[in-house]
Amino acid sequence: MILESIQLEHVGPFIRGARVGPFSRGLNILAAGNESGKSTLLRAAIRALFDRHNCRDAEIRMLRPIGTDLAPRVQVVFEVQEGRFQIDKTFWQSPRCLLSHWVNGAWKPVAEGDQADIRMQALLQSRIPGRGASQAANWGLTRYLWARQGELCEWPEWKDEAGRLIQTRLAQIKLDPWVDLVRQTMREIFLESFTPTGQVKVGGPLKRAEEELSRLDEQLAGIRSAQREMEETEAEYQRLAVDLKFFEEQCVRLEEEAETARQQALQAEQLNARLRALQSELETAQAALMTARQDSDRLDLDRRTMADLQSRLSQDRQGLEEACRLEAAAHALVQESETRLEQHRADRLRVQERLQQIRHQLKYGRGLQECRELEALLKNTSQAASQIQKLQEEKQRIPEIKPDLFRKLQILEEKIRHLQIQLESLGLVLTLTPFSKAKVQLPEENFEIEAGECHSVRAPQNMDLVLEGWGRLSIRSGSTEIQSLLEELRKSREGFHQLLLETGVAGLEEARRAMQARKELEGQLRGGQQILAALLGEWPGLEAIQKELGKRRTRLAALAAVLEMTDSQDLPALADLEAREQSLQTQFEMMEKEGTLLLGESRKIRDDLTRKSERRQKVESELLALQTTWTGLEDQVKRLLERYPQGLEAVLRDAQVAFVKAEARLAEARGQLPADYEKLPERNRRAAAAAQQARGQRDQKRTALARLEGHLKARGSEGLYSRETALLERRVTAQSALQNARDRGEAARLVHDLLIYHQQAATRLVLGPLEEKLSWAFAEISGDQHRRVFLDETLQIHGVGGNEQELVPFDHLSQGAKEQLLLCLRLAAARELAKTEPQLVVLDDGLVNTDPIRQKAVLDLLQQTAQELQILVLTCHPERYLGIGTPLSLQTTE
Amino acid sequence: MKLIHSADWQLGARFEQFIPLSEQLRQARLATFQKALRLAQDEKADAFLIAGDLFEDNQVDDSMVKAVLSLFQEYSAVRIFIVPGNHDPQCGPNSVWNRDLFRECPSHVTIFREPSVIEHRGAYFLGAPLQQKVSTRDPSLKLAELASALASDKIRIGLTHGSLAIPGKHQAHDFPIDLHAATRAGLDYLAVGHWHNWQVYDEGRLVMPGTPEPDQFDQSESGYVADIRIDQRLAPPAMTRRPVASLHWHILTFNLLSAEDSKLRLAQQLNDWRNHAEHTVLRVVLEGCAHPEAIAAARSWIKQALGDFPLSQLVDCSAVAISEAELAQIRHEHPLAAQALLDLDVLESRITGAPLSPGPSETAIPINEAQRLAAESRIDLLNWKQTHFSQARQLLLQALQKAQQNGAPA
Repeated sequence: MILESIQLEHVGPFIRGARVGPFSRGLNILAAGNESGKSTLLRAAIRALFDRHNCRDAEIRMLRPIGTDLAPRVQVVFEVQEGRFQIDKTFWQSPRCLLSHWVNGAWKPVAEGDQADIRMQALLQSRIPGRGASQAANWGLTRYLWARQGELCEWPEWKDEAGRLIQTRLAQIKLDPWVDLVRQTMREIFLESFTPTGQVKVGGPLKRAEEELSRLDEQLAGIRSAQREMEETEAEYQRLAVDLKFFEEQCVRLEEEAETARQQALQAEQLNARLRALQSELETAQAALMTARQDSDRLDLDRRTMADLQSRLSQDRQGLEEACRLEAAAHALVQESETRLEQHRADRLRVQERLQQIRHQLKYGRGLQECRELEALLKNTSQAASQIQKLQEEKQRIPEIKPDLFRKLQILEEKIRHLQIQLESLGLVLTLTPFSKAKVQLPEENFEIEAGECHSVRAPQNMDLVLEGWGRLSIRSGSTEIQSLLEELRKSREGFHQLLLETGVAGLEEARRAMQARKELEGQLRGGQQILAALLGEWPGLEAIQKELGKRRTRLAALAAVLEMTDSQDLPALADLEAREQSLQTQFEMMEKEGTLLLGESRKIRDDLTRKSERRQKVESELLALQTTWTGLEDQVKRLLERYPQGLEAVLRDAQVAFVKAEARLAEARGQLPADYEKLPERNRRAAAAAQQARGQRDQKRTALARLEGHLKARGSEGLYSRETALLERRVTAQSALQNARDRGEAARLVHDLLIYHQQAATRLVLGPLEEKLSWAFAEISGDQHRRVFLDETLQIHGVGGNEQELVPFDHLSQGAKEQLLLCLRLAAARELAKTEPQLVVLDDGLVNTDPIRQKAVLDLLQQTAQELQILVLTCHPERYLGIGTPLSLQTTE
Repeated sequence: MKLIHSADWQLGARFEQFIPLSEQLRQARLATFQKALRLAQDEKADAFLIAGDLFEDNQVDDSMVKAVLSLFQEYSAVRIFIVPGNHDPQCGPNSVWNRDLFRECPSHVTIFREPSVIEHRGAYFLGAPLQQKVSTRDPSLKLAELASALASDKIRIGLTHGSLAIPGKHQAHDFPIDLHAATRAGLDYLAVGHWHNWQVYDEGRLVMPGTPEPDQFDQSESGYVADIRIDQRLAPPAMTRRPVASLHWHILTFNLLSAEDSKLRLAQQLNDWRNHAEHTVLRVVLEGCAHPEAIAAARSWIKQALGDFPLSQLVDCSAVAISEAELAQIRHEHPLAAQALLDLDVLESRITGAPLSPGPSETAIPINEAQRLAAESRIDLLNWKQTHFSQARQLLLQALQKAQQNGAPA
């Protein structure tokens, strides 16, 4: 392919558009400064030639002018073996693509849209990737012949078809085209099932077979799992069936045993019931016998008791008579004692009344004396209190000036005086000496001054005075100190007067006198109060004394009323009263002792009477009890005899006979009972419980077995074998398909690889001539005829050197040498390919590492090969290419 | 007393070696079963005996069971006695015989689920079913037990399933039946099933008729049911082999070395069988070495010839071979392809031990290089077999031939 022109719109820096071309068939030099858009031009051309028009990859997005969403449009006119074509692509928004062919002097559209992309791919022998933007590997020959910016020192591996084509052409291998087709066929066969790296290809027959096999295996695993589960269930079923059989047998056996035990227990129960009946009969007979015996014994006892009672009754009647006699004697003694005691009590009461009368009189006399003492005390204390009252009233009249207040007054007075002295020393002094007697009016005073008399008038700051016959005279001082002193003086005076007003005194002297007077009064008050306190003693106050006096007078009045005394009646002396009280008290005490003795004697006599009465009552009650008992026994004997009309002896004998017979029957029945009959009910219960338990176990097993049976029947009807058969048969098919696909793919791959291997071997045989060509070209550029270029069997440049053992590896060469060597290789490849189709070699910003001497040799080489090739040099150093090739320029649309 | 004795129908069997013909083979077996029932009906047999393995497995699907029951209904005049065999033992609730479908089993069909005796038309039919898949116990002993309690004046027919206790031919756990089991149990006839080829012992009283429908190519003694006639108690039974097989199994070979002869022979044979082509299971083995073109031609011819035989298959055992002249021509015209062919020969010889044709082999790829190349593509070359190399050779030659046919490449 060679290019004819490139036209851009909305691409990179070319927002409005740009065009370059027409290119010549030989050497084209496009020189422009850095960032002028040379490389953008080349990149856009590549996208137009090799990318899908509707690709939205970042590479395409980057074509858009920065900051816009304009749709990049690229138009490239190119020529290939098939003719001259024009591709016009608009990317991104509303993507469009039109491929036109130059036919008969006009452009004829041949394909558009996806078809145009496909047609381009065929024309350029490129590949469009499945998704995303195309990579260098997709560009066919362009990958090798176009050295984009920064790629001049790199050479791609010959891996793709284009590379292999160049490789073949370069080495001039006489390749068998049919074998190449075979190799391609083998590759296609391999790629049906595998990826190029040997992985199983998604969507390929091998993958499909694997997936089918996997699906079938999964289904088979499911069926086999079900089969295993069924087999396990079946085994469980068999085990359970055996268990059930055992439990069935056990159940039958235990039920039989339970039945036997039940029968035995029933028989034993019946025998036992009979035994209980016989026992009951025996007990009845025994009870009858016992009753008869007891009645007989009781009769004997009752009769003996009645005889005893008769004897005791006669004794008790004698005892009762004696007790009655003693009781009467005691009663007479008691009456005599009580008479004596009553007389003594009356005497003692009279003495007691007299003693009480004397005591009242004594109390009245003492109370009267106390009242008189209290009246005297009340009088004295009232006088003292009155004196104190007078002192306090006098004290109230004197202003109270506390020492700190007085001190404050002193300080203020001192301050005022001090301020006045200061003012006088600073203030105005007006000395008036009139020629004639004159009257002077001051705000505070008026005075007259005799003629020739000198009089000084002082004022702190201002002075207003009227001089009669002369007029008003106002003097003002401007001193600020005086102003502040005046202000302070005014405030001090106000404070001083305020304090005097508060204390109620006219001045400091009066305050001092008031303080002195209060002090003296307070001393007198304290003395009065001490006298009053001594008089009061423990009394709280005058009111308390008055109250107590009132109370005592009331009590005296009450006592006087009791004693029926009048004020005129004389009261015996207190000493007489006290002597008479003492005498009566002694008499009373003696009578008390005498009374106590009499009372004790009377009590003894009364107690004796009580004992005698009790004795008589006891004897009476015993007699009554004995009589009651005797009557009861008599009734009892009578009733007993009535119960046995046939005679107690006969009844006793019959009961004895019946008891012996019942005892014999019971012994016989006991002999019929089994020895362990008592254990039989328990055994019966145990056997029944065991049978019940066995039935429970059996039923459990039956239920479990029925469940398993149901499960197995359901599983058995699922046709697992048939399903497995169907799957296995499908699996064989799938396995066969898989094996076939794998074998076929692998066989094809081996054949393919063997052919490549031998192709490379053949290449190695013809490396020498190619190395010769490259060595010559490189020597022309470098001027060194002694070095050779060495290639490996894949035609990659191995290195440069005098011989193969001492060569400098390609990677170790300088950047300049690398780009020159690869330029030689590119030109050689392009020349070879140009034999069948015109070819374009692009050098974008190349040879930057080449020195000026070699640059000339390179230009010679380019000029020489430009006869066979189209070469496009993009450079920012136009001076290096002056005079050669066709200069091109970027024509931007205004 | 006339009996039709069959066994080992194994309905629902799997035929992995005949895929994709397996379903047809299963259906054919069912058709044969119908044929045998029809025979019993036509011959007015007193009983149709199935001595085990009516089904291939207890877990065959219901459609197969229904098909069998449908045939039972269709042939209601035929009294049928069945014993379960080792393939379909009466071993639990999941046994095919316990399916609900068998509740509707017609009354003229007796399935011996337990060892028991049925009296029918003046004879005793004693059944000893298999209740497990393997056992060392002789199942005919049960018959002896049952027979000991029977009146001796009536004909006794026994049915059971197991291998014949022939030293060296049977396995101990495969229900070994004594060869004189019929006489030992006092039976007039013992119908046995298990082995797939016809067997007669105990002076004609013990018969194993083999499978009525062969399932392999080498079963020459199968495809029959036994037609038995017993006139009276203790009289020797009269026996006839009655062929019932629906399918005929044949193997033919097509040798590439004598392709024309093979063609003639094969064509003649196929012509002979064409009338019952639908009932012929045919395997044609393509063998010998030939040029791929010849192989393809032979394969194509065989496929065409087998077009009328729906139950046929081609087993390709051929190997690609080219003549020295052809090889020389390839060497001359396509040296790279010839080199690859030589590589394949040498690698095959080194890896599989196949003989290597005489000639220079120095230029062949070293095996370690070939291994390296293969490993890059994840191919385990050392596990390759001759078929792989043959396929590789064939692909190469076919591709070359195709390329040449398409003309010179651009």
